[in-house]
Parts: sequence; C-alpha cells; structure tokens
Amino acid sequence: MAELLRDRERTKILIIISMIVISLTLSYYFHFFLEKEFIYTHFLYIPAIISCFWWGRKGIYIVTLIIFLEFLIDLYIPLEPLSEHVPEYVVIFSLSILVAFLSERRRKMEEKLKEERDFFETVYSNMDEGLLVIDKDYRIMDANKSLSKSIGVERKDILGKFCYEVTHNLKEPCDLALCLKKETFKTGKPMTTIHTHYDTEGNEIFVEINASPIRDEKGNVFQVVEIWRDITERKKSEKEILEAKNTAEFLNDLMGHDIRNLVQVVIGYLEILEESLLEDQKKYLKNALNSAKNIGKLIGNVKKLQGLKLRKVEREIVDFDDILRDTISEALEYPNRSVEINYSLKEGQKVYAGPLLKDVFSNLFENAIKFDSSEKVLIDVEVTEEDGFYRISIADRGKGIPDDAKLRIFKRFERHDKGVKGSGLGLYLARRIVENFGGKIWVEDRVKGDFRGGSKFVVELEKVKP
Amino acid sequence: MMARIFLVDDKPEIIALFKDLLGLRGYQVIDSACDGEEAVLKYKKFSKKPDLVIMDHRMPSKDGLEATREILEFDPLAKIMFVSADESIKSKALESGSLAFKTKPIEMRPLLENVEKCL
Repeated sequence: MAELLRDRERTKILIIISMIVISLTLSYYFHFFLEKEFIYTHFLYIPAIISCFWWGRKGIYIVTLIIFLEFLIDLYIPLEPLSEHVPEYVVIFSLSILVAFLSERRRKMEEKLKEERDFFETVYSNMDEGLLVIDKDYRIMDANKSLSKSIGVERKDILGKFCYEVTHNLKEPCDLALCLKKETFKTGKPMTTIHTHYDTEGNEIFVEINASPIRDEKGNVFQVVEIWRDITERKKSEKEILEAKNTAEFLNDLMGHDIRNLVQVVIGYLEILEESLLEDQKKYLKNALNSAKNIGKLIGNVKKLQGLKLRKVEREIVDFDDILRDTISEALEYPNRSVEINYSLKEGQKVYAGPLLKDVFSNLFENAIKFDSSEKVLIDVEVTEEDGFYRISIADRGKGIPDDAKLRIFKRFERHDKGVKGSGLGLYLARRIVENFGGKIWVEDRVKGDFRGGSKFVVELEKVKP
Repeated sequence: MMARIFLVDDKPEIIALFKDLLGLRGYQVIDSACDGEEAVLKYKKFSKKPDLVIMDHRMPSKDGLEATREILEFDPLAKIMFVSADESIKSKALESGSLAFKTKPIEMRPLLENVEKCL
C-alpha cells in the first residue's frame, strides 16, 4: 500500500513537471513563432491549480516556482512593462491558495469519512450479533460474518437471495403471524421478536431479532436492517434450568410426602417393638429409632430451606414470648434429660417474624441440651431491648464454641462437635429463617473471654413500634 | 368406653400402622378410607358417628381440607385431627375446623397425647 502511494506521488510529480515543461514550450512557441505573448501564462495556471488540488498547502511551493518562472520570462522578454504582469501573479497565487484550502478541507472530510467507515466496518464485521439488510422484496442486500456463521452459509451465497429462503428454507415469503420486516416496512417503527430459524442441517436456531427501518431522503422506508442475537444457548440453558427445577420439585415432593410417610411407618413400628423388648435389647432399637427420627427431622429442615429459597417469607407481627414459652415447655420435656431453664418473660412483646420462629428457638434449645453432658442441663433465657430490636439470648453451660468456629457453625453442613448426632443443617436453617425476618443471629461466650464456660446464642428481631 | 376412630389416609401402610398403634392403646378403629371422597361418603353412612377422624391431606380425588369441610358441614360436631406430611396447610387445616394438626412423621407419644386432647 505504501509503495503504491509512493508510485502514485512520483507519477503526480512527473505529470506536474511535464505540464510545466509543456507550458513553457508552448509559451516559447506562442511567443517566438506565433508572436503571441499572452497565452503562456494561461497554460501555467493548469499545473498550479492541479498542484494545489493534489497537495493542498504544499502545492503553493510549486505555484511560487511557476510564478517565478513566469516572472523570469517577463523579465527577459519585456514586451510589456513588468508591473502589468503583477495582477496576473496575484490572481494565480490567490486562486491557488483557494484551491489548496478547499482541497485540504475535502481531504480532511474524506479522512473523517474513511475513519467512520473503517470504524463501522470493524464493528459490523466483528460484532457477535448477525446483521442483515433487506429490501422491500425481502432480498438480502448485505450481511455480516456473524450472520453467515450463525446459519452456516458463506456471506457471498446469502447476498441477493430472499431472506425467507435463507433463514426459513422456504420458497415463498413466510406465513408468520409476525414478520418483523413486513411490520417494520408497514409501520416504520423498530421492532423486536424471537424467531425459530434453521441452519443448513435443519437444526433449530433461536434468534432474537431487532428490526429497524432505513429511510431514504424523503423519509420512506426502503430497507430494513435486522440485528440477530443467537439465543439458542440461552434457550437451551433455560430449558435445562426448567427441567432441573421440575426434577428438584419432584424430588422435594417425593421426599416431603412419600418418604415422610415411609419414615412414619418405620418410627411407628419401631416404637411398638420397643415396648416388647428387654431393657438390654432396647439400646439397639433406640439407635435405629433415633436415626429414623433424624431422617424425619432432616427432611423437615430440607423442606423448610427449600421453602425459604423459593420465596421470601412474609413477615408478620408475632408475640415472641408466646412462642418462646411453648418452646421452653417442650425443652423441659426433653426425653431422658433433666433440664432447668431460667427465664422471665413479659407479655405482648411483639416483633416482625413468622411461625418458623419456633423452629429457631427449638433448634437452639435442642443444641443447648444436646451439647451439655451434665446431669442437669441449665439454660438461661434473657430478653433485652436495643435500638428498636429485641435480643433474645439462650445461654447454656455446654462445651462452648471457640472463636474460629463462631461464624462457621451457621454455615451449611458445619457442626462444631462432630461427636454429636445431627445433620448440620439446624443452625444454618435458623440463620436463614431469622435473616428472612430481617433479623440477625449470632453466638457469644456465656462467660466473656472463656468459651469453655458455654455458649450464648442471640436472636435479634425488629421490634414492632406501638 | 373405648373411643371409636375413623382413619383417612391414601397410604395403606399408614392405615395399618395407626390401626396397630391405636389398637394397642385401646382405641377402636371402626373403619378407614383411602381418599377424601370415600371418607365423606363413609362418614355420612355411619349410623354411629366416630369419636375422632384422623385425616391425611394429600390424597387422590378429594384432599383432606375439602373432606374436612364437607364432613363438618354435614356434622358440625365431628372431631377431626390432621396428621399430614404437608406442613404448608397447617393454618388452613386449623381454620377449616379441625382440632389439631400434627406433621408426619410423628412419634407415638405426641400422637396419642393429641388423640386424647381431641377426644
């Protein structure tokens, strides 16, 4: 390209030199042979103007040279006084400056246009979206690489063909309820829709199409430009997600209903059997029974978690002291354990929560009992008010939780004491429930700075303003 | 006097279990139905009404909630206790007029305690 430009410049210089030589020869011929003096200056106008046209401001140097040559001729062949030639010099110089100015302006505009065209072509060729220009007869006037790639046909094989032939494998215009081109030509407004197209092998391609009108000088739509976005992968993913969701719902339903019924049968019959066994035989059965009960609890927790994931729990106004009292009564009845709970509750303490709050308290009491191997389990329940929130704390005298585990235990499948049976879902579920109510849950040391003194779980819930 | 109980559940193994459990504790299971529709029909035909109906919810043809409404419409004094794996209907079940709602799986002790409470 650079070489071509150099050759072109060289040719231009040669042309200008030739024109000057020819002009001077003609001047000489007109002057000496035809004895007409005025002609030569007009010949010299031509290389002067062309130089400025080609080289803009730089052409002025050549114009200066030409005027100098003209001056020399006027000087050595003084048929008229030299002063009479001055207006001619001024005219040729002024005219050349004007041509140089206009030429440079035109060149700048051309460069700008080229830049814009290059930019557009770069975008047009490299964009992921397919681009198609169609005329009123549905003939394809232009298409970019992405479009030809998406339908598996070379660009040159698309141009000039009908769009319905290329995209829908049809011989006649599509009988679609909504043909964007037809509508855009009719309404003159941009439109978007999703079409099913087919590649050369007949495979479905889902395309989101945006059609925009191209108008002529009079404002009439004469072409339509379509931008295609291949959403086949997105559609596939959506389908897979839907299938996965349906499978998850089926499994959730299966677990929530059918398996729970089966677990019910197992628990029921093991309990009947327990009554007829001797004391030393009962311990084996108890293990089986506890596992069956844990399956039931696990399914219940998974169902609740699933429910929390599917929808945000609607907060309602609840008297948490009622729920807490119920839970305390149940905890005091914990099988085979002696439990003492110190509490003092007021009535009518209202917070934004929901029925699942009982699950949170039940889980905390159960943990407090399970993780305390003392003969008598001591639990302190305290309620405090702070900045529009109620803080309900449940403190035990169990093994305690070291600082590095204080956050971890609220994560899924994390359990501080691996020796104690459980799914590791309980505190995670408690956190999810409390957070759904817009509250917080955390654990502290019951005795500040000494985790071995037991844990204090705190549930913070927004207080209902009277 | 021995309390008379009517069981409604679409799972035969649950019917069998509750019959055994309740039978061992001295209750009389007078009959059972495997769906809501059968439950309503049978209930209407009982010459001597049961003391308690233990009702499941998710059953073919007519669910427990609908069956409860129809039974209570027919006999407002009917005592119905839900034992279902579907916790989501707990509040609706209580609103429909049932006396208690327990979630499956339920242990023998709370089941029997609730039966006693309802009677």
